[in-house]
Amino acid sequence: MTDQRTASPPERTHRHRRALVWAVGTLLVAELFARLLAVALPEPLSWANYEQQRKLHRLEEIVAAGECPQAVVVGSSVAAAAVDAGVAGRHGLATYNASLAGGGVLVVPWWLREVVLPRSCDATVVIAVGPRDLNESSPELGYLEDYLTSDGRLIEVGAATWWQRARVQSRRWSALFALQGPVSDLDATLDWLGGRGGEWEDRNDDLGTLQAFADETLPPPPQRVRNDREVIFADYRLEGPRSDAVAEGIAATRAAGRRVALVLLPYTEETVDLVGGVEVLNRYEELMAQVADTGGAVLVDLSGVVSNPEQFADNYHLNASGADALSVALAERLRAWAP
Amino acid sequence: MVFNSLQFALFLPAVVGVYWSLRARGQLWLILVASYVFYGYWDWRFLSLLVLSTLVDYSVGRGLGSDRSERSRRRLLWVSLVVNLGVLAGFKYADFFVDSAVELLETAGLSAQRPVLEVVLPVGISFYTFQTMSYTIDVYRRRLEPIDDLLTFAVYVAFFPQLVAGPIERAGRLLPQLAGERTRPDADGVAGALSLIALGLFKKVVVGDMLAAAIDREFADPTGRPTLALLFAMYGFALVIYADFSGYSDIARGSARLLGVELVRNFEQPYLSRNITEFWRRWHISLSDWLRDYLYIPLGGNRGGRLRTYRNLALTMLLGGLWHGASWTFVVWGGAHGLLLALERLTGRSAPTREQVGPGDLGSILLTFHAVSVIWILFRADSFATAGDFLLGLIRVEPGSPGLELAGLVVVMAVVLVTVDVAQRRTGRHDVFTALAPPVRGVLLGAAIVAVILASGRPAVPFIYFQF
Repeated sequence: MTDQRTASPPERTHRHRRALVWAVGTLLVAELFARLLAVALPEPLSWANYEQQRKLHRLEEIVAAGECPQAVVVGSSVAAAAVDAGVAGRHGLATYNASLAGGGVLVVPWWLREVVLPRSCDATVVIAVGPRDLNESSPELGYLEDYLTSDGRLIEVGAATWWQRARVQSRRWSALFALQGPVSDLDATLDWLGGRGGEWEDRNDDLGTLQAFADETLPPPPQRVRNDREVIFADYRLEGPRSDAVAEGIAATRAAGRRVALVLLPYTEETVDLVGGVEVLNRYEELMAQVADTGGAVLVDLSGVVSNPEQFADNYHLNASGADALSVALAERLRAWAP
Repeated sequence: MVFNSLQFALFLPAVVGVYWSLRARGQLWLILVASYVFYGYWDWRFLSLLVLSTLVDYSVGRGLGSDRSERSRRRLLWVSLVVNLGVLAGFKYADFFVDSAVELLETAGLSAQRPVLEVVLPVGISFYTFQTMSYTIDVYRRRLEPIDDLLTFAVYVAFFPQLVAGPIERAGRLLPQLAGERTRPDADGVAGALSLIALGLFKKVVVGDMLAAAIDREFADPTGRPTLALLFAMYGFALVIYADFSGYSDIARGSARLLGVELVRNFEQPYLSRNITEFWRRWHISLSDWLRDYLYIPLGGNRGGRLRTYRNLALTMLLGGLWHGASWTFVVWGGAHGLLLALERLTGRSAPTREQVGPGDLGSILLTFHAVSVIWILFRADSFATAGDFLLGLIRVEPGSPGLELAGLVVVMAVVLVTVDVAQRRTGRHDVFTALAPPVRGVLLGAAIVAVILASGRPAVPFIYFQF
């Protein structure tokens, strides 16, 4: 073989062309392999996470099938874990839980206005919150930013740039690009490969909510307790963007001509100490009553429905047993009132 | 605009395509406009700083070149230093100085109101101010003739491939390339340039960004995390910072080559170093050389006895640390390196002169890598408290698994980077793939592109050194 440096210019050009042909061939083989694999994989991700994307599609499917829910629940992970729509449905309230386990209460007005309200017939909107959601000192963890900047959302509201559209299109045209989601969420992929379900498994696939969220995703107790004390409830402070977000969600729902209930969710006894005493919780309840009253929402206080610590996964997320009890109570309170 | 974006993937071919259809002067105008678009894409307002730096140093250079007394030349040099360092101090260090002063007053028991400054840090400011300062200092020292052509000088300051994160080019190297006719790269040249760009993208997007996401949790809150997870996160960050920064340099060099310009090598397989002295000859070489020539040697270098040498080393490394970021963690990071450099001088362990490494060097390579990795913790942690928690977590044995994602990624990426580095060291070339047989090269290039596509699912993450 001629040495690279001593080869004539045409020979070198030919050699580089051969390399290029091999590179293109490798890309084609990879694309073919990805197409074979793609059959077993979820659709490409264009929203901030699979949860948002699935819930949006599920709402569309439900409405398209003519199964309009009577109530649609929105909130953070606390609401996602609290309401088992299947149980509520069996107790006379056809419900869809559109709460975002991967999203704080600040996302609620946006999610409601842009996704839930246009896709839920004339269902009553249930905004469900607990004391954990309203601490203005708690870090937001970028949920809202992730939501607002996702390609799917920007396309939905007509604010996407040409390259964001191109990115989403590329995932439709090429299976290699479509695999970006599973690679960027490697933990979920490894769970899936190991047969442990993971984030892609259907949640809320019927009108019901698969409650197992809390037990699956919460950190183990030592870190959880520390998080509670040092992060979640640290420097507990009411009134600010979070309570404003609840008010904004109510206003958006009312502006769409829909009924709205503000549901107060249960919490453990320990939460009383974590927030700084019973007076602070009283203030929280007063604030929520005021927000409901001002916005024209019905306040449904279910905070006393579950009090047994055994029915909580931590100090604010209900486990399956707690969600059963809460969902029955929610159905009983709302079924006569919802359309 | 960042290298790892769709915009740059369209921008570079468009610029290169038009560039070679123009004459030398037109090429310079094109690079200048392209560089300003590249920079202004992030925030056009800060173009004014770039233009200010250009005009001041161009004028100072011209003034220094004319017949003047030494006193007036020195005054002119001060004008350049005050403007450049003033801009740097104002935009990069104002908050840091104010915070430090307030903390100092509070420690002394005095109360102080912290003024809200919230100055936005212009991208790449540390790089281009150092680059323009080197020009005026070299002209002042009469090591360089001042340039008459403002256009060439403006391109030297704003040359987009290396504008925001280096390499910090010396005027003596870059200006002659810009002032003269540039040669269009032949097939080998284009292949080499594309090979560097592909390697850089692979390092940044596949190694750097994927690992950075995997280690975030350990650095965000190291308390209570398993020791093995922290250990892998420590190794992970060492790989992240190397892949991120050397990846940027590779793309910069590859892009410049497509424009007929050769940039200086900024990394020479630093993790194959056998001691810290050698590490600093191989890591961010353009900054190390700058600090040596414009700080260490003017301070006295190793002239004037041991104590002065150690003092100069420590000062240089402390200021080098501060150059990286306006935080005490960076200062201590630099100080720790300065301490190790001084210790090596004290014990007579100077950098090996032998270029190639062998199996016998494995112990010293591993030792150096671990020392560097531990010190990187200060660089990555957002506070001394987090760094302390991380280091304590490494010492206390907390059982638990590091997790398959973290451990797997660190091991795979380490193998990939070491393989590339060893190949580069053996061949002496950074565009190592161009020496391979066409089928092997093609398959490797195709595989690299596939990996970059797969790893590009997250929004483009800016290069770490952009913040400096």
